[in-house]
Amino acid sequence: MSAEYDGYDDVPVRGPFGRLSARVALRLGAFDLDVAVAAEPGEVVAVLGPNGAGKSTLLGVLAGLLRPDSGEIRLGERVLGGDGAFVSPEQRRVGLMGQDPLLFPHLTAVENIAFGPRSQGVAKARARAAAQDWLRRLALDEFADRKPAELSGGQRQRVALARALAAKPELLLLDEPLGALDAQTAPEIRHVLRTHIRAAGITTVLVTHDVLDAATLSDRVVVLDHGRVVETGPTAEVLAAPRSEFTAALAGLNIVAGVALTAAKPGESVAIAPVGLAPARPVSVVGQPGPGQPGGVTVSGFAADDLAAGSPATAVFPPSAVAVYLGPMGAGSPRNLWPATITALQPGPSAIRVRALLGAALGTAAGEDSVIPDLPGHGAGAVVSADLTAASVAELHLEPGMRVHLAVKATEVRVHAH
Amino acid sequence: MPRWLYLPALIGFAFLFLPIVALVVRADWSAAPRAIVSPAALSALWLSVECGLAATALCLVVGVPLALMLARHDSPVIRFVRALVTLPLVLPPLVGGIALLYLLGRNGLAGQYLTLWFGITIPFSTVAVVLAEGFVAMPFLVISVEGALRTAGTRYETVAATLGAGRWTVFRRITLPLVLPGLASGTVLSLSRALGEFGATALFAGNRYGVTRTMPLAIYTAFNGSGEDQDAAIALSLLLVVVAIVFLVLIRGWRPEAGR
Repeated sequence: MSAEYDGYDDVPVRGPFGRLSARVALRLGAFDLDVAVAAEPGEVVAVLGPNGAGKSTLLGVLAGLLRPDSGEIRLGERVLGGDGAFVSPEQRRVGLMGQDPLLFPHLTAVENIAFGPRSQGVAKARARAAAQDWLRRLALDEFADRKPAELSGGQRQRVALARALAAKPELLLLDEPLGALDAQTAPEIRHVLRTHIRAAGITTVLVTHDVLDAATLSDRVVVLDHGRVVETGPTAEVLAAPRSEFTAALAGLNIVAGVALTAAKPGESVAIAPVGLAPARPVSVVGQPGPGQPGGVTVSGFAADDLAAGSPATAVFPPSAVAVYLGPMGAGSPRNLWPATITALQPGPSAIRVRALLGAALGTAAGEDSVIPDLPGHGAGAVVSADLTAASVAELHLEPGMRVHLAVKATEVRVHAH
Repeated sequence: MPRWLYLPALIGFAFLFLPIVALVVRADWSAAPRAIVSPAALSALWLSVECGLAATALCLVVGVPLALMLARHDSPVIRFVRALVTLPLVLPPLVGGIALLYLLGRNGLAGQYLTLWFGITIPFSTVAVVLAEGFVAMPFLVISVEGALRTAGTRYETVAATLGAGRWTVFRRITLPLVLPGLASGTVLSLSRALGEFGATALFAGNRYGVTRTMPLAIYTAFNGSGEDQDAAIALSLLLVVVAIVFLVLIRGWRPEAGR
């Protein structure tokens, strides 16, 4: 991949990318940030949290726009900041792309992208050629000579990404990159981000308040609240089995990571096989798992992105869309009917959240006394939450350890590329 | 708008516009061309243009950095400096001229050493005209550019820095182009203020033909001077009116660009 990204040969490709490790303490008025974050080389780490949690402050510190009171920021072999050290933003090689693309209004698209290489001493013609390369990669060729005011929001954000990557940063910081886009454009830019960040293989820190961004773009999640890390771990684990109530409230969605079984275009129906579970054929006759794979699980839904057969994919659906059945049933309309074992019941403000581990192999028959611990990593990505009324829970006598079936209409499930 | 407010509005407009009409009506149009191309008028015109351009250049070279400093820092000291920068705007130009004389005059605070050490005498020279014009014109440029800098903000500069651009590159390729409309209108304002400068020039530079007699001083001399005719003064005044209108159009021409 790296060879493809060598757009201009007189600037070496920055890579292999280094590991980011940062301990940062900073007090800004009444706000106080004290966090440690790390990202392995090439890893995308999502920083989740509500407004005012300190996400953007953290990015500002990493970019060198704010000086921490204490701590240490390391990127590969270099110390970028912290106690007694400070590398200025222009020397850091840390790219920043925010919600506002902030394209230089007096420069054309191609001049915007060439700005980074030019500022780093690349000759004009070569920088321009590299910028043209980037425009081609992002399908923006025809807009090369347009000013930012003549571009759409999505096009501007693509140019902003190209500009950030063309400067060949060693660390990329994304601050709510989809925050200002409309509902039609956001999925497109999400796809562009995923494709190009993965292709570049660059270590990335993504700040977002949207759990979907974290679910579809990141490898690991750091959850911030009031300037502190409240939870961290692999994205699928943290979002599927949040350990803190705070994260659970933030997540609020079922996220099942898996592999697409067929290719699909946005809007087409598609099925995925969850990671670590034997796939079943999509259940057409309710209560009949696919032949040959008893207890298998397949998640059917509608594609939100272009998906290739066998590519990593993430199914997303709300807990309110999940129904719980005790025993075998007759034919029904829900495309998804999964065997599962209840692991926990959590009372919420308006409903009881039933957490269940997908797959029949685990767990025991209904009525048997066994509690499956709700451990992260244990069947990670295959824990599903269902929001039920207290009356339903009482009527069905639901309790941890019970084997049940979960039903979800395919129309409630969005499948994103990962 | 309350209807009865149209009356004072129209009186206000007439008050500003009628004097120009009177000037145009009073002008001896057959004699005007000759008055304008007379050696005295041409000498004053060229001196005005030279000194005006030099003063504007002076304003740009030191005024833009000053505006940048005022826009990018905020402290009690900076606020005090900003107040002082606008002082020449409210100060009568005559007072400015006296102040310059006491700084740079032969016995002035700094002037005595210039004379003593370097043999330089500034008052009543063409250099004095440039300094006097610069003194009254610079606040216009500084205020205009500082406003543009504040509007542009520092976000683009921050992005440029993360792309690897050093401070000088950011200033040259991002900051300056972004404030170009404000810079242009500030420049035109300064230049027109410099061309019209009279009070500070008269006191600090005097009224020497060919050396310090700029257009405003020539008009004053023609109007009040012994034996000179008023028609020449009127013709020169009309010339200044035309120059002013050209500048106004230039400033207006920049406005649409500012929105882009």
